[in-house]
Amino acid sequence: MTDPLTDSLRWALAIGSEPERSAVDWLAAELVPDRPDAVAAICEADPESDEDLRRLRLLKSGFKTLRLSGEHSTDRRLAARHYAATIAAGVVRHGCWITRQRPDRLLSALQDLAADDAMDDSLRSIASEAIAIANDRLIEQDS
Amino acid sequence: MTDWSMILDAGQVDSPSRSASLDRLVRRYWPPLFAYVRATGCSASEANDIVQGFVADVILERNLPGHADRGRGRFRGLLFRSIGNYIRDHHRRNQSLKRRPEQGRVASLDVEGCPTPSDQSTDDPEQAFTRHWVATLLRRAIETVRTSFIDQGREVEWEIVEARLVRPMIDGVPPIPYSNLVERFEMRDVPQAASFLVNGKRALGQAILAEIGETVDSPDQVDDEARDLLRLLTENAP
Repeated sequence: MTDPLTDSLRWALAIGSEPERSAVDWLAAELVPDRPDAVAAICEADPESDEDLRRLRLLKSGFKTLRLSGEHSTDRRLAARHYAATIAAGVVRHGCWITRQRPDRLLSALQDLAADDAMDDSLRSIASEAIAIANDRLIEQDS
Repeated sequence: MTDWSMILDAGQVDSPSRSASLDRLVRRYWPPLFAYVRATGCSASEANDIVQGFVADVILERNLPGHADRGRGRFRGLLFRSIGNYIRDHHRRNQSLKRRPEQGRVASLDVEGCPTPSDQSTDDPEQAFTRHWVATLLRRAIETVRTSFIDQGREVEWEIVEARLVRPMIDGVPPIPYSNLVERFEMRDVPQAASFLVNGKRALGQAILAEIGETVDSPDQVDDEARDLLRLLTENAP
C-alpha cells in the first residue's frame, strides 16, 4: 500500500533532482498505468494490436495537451518530443500516422527528435525508424 | 515570514510581534508534538496536557525559540529533542510522586494514570513526530496550491487535482474515475484531465519543497531535509 506522505516527498524529490522528467512520466503513468515511465509506455508495445493503438492515441493526446499547457517550458519541450515519439511508434508498429498533421511537419518533428542527443536512445531510434518507413512508402493519414 | 524568521522573532523577548510569532509557532508545531507524546503511550487527554505543559514550560518559560541557532541544525531537531527530554522528565516526576510515601505509607503499585499504548498508530515517537511534521507541511502545501489555482481561475484544474490526488491522499478515498470527471466538467478527453493532474502534482511538489525550505537554514539544505524526512518515514515502517 502506498503512503501519501512518503509519496508526496518522493515527487518533491523527483522534481528537485530531475525536474524535466517528472511531468511526462507522471502523465504516462496516469494514462498507461502498467508501464514504469513515458519511454516504456511509448516503446513497449501491448500484445493486442488494437489496444496498443488505443494506448498510443491516448498518449499522443496527453503529450499534445501537455505540450501546450505544461506548467513549465521544460515540461512543454519534453512533451513535444514525446508527442513526436508516440506518433513515430504509430508509424513503426501500425503503419499509420495517428494524427491529422501534415506529413512534412511530422517528418520535421521526427528529425528533430532523432537528432536530439538529450533524449532517450529508444525514442530517438523509434523516430529514425519511422522516418525510414515514411521515406520508403506513403503512410496512411488519420481520418 | 519564513519559519526561521518566525522562530527567531518568537525568541526575542523585546520584539513587538513576539506574541503573534509564538502563537503561530505553537499552532504550526502542535500536531507533531501531540503525535510524539501520543506515541509514547499517553491517552489523548494526557498528551494534550503534556503538550500544553511543554508549551508553557519550555517554549514560553525557558524561551526555546531564543535558543534556536540557525547554524546548529534544524528547528525540527531541536523541537524533537526538547519534547523527548520534557516527556522523560515528566514521566520521572510522575514516578517519583508515585513512590513518595503518602500519609506514612508507600503508595500502592497501581498503574492508574500510567500511560497506555495508543490505539491510534504503531509508530514509535520519532516516526509519529516526523509523520505529523510532514503532514503539517503537506497540508500547508495543498492550501498554497489550492489558493493559487483558484486565484488564477483554474478551478476545474483544482477540482481534478482534488478528486484524483488530494482527497485520496488526505481522506483515503479512491480517486474519481477520469471518465466521470471529463463528463462532469465537460472536458475534451481523459488525456486533458490527466495533464491537468500532472500540472497540479508538479505545483504541489514544488509547494512541498518550498514549505521544507522554510524550515531549513538555506536553500541547499532542502533536498537533504526531504531525504532525511523520507528516510525517517520509511525506515522501520510497518
